Amino acid sequence: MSAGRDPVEEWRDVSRRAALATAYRPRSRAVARPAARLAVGAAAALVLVVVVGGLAMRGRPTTISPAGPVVASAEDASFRLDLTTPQATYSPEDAIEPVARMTYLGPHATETILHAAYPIGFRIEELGGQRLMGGGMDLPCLRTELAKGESAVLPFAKAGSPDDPRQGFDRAWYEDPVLRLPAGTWRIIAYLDVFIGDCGGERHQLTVENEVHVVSGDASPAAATPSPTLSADAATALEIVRKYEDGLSTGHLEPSWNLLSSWSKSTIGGYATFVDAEAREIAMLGAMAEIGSPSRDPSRLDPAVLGDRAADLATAADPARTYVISVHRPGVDGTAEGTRNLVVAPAGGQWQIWLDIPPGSYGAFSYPDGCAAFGLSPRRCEAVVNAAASNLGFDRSTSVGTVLMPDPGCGGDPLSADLGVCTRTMSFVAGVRFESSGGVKVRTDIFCGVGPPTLVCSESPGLEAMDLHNAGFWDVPCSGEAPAGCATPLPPPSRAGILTEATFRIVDESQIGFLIDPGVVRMELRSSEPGRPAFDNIYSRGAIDGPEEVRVFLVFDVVETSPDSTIRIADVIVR
Amino acid sequence: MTAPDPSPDAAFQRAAEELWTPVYRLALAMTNDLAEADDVAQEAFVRLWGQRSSIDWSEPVLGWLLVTARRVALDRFRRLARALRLGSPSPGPAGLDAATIERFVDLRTELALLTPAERTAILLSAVEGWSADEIGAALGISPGAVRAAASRGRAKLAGEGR
Repeated sequence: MSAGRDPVEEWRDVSRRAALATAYRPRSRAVARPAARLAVGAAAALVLVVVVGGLAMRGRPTTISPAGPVVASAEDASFRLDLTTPQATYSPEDAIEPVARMTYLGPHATETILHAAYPIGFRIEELGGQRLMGGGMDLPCLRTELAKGESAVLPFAKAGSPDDPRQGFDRAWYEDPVLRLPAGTWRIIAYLDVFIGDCGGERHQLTVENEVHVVSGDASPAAATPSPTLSADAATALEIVRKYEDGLSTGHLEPSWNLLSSWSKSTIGGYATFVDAEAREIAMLGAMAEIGSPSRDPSRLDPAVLGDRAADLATAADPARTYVISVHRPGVDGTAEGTRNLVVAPAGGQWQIWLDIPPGSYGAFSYPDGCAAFGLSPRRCEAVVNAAASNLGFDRSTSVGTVLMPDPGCGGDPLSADLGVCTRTMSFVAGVRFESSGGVKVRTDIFCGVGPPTLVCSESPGLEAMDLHNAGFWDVPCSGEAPAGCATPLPPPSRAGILTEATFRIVDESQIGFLIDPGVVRMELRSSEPGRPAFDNIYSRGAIDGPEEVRVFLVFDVVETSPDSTIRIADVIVR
Repeated sequence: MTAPDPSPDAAFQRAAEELWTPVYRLALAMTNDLAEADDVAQEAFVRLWGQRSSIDWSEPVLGWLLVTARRVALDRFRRLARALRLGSPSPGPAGLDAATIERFVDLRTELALLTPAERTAILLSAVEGWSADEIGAALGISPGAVRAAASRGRAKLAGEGR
């Protein structure tokens, strides 16, 4: 766990993302999970299995006589990699279902391997042609434990990005979750790439390949072969958008950022803002993007339709090579779907993307609808907005619009090649922008760092005991730092009358069924003798002869409560 | 004029659309495993589907789903516990990005210090805003036991953080 990270907050976000990524799936529909566990052998626990999406789309029986399965193997001292393709010959309509299997050979009884999203990747290459697909995988350094002799099985799964968009092959590739190939001879490659010990440690790489033939049975291979109908420019524009979206959906934002035009970057404000806002967008709308066809429809390229970016496009981009491509995100579990119209054009010798972003609106979510996008519950979101209004001295009753804004970053030049993230001692919660009826917009950003637990900074603020010393009462000796407790210990007075201890303990620091905000229970001593000053320290308060009777108060602000709420206090010591 | 009662199929569909997240979260708190939580939540809804004709749809079904999810999770614990000992967390649900899965790998280790009841008491009170009564009903324990579990869990997490 990262230092300083609130596990409850982390769980809140992770569980939300996981819940959004899943849903009830009626069993009458065969929808495959991309990952599931499978027992291997009678008593074995597995390991790792990936099921290719689209089990319901199994290929039709082919009329072409299949040859037997194609099998290839490779091994080193620790692992064996097998790749099996059920047939050697297919028709273009057939589903080709290669399966890779990795087996741990020893020498240990078990071994933890570290790998990317999957330990095995796949690649498809056309022999005698230029078409290929597959390759890249994320590098999250996941762990899988394998026992000696046990195997992990991975059916083929599509991945990667095209190497040459002009072939048109990439489109067909992604339009069908099942592996079908155009007529030709193809090489199916499986490669194992894992580490032992630690990521970057002892690396094991194995590669095996199967060669299969795809033969058209009706002598019209063109019908099954994705034809490159796009112009070179359109294909390039499409590829640019695809790479941009790939970066967003896999969390690799830097390549996506680098595809943006200078105007887009400046309008966004900075890389940190881009990262923050896009992460929310993906969380809300899902990572799956439906990318439309490149369009040069004049009605879509009309400056009035292009909006704020039109002026920059007019000066920076080649109008004859400018395309509009829609990217649609269908939404997750009923959240609003979203469509962006990206403009792609070459400028300065490089293809770039112009986002549709009026200045000041990038990454903005209206309040309260956008609270979920910021991972805030309604009540915490309200607390955040209230804190922002308080910071600004803004009267919320005069607001005609409240907007949650992304991380503003740390300033600097948005066009700088240096994409270093902010170094902060505090974490960003949300920016809040109020618009008053007079059209004035004011913004402040809410950060959290060291301080008492508050609802602004946590969905589950704990309780903190603040005794007199923590509140600044100096007669109570410090005990934290050597050599004498306080760094600069106060000289003890020469006479009696010092308050030497005033402490208490909260037994259960969680708040369940009630809310104290800020989550501080503060100790106060009040003299029973009328007119005596508040307890500060002996130097400012003075001393009186004889004992002084005091009353001990524990003070806290209750925001919400329920009938059975209890705060348990123990070990109250005042002397 | 009141709208006609929805058919059991329609009521089930509505429940599936609206109640997935809390059921999944309860399952995740109990199992501490992304894919297991998916399976547990799926099974709870499958059982609801099987009972749709006999369910009183005029009453909220969330409680029914949570209790069912808890029972399903308990049934699976023996198998899950072995997988956890083997240290081979299952991959996350379909569509969940790798970065989130990686975040959970770290989080999961920390939360493994807690019992299912402790995780549920802490996480669902904070995240779903459920009361001790509601959590107790889902877990089949008393509200006092929920508070005690939350207290113990907090202490464990605080100890881990030092």
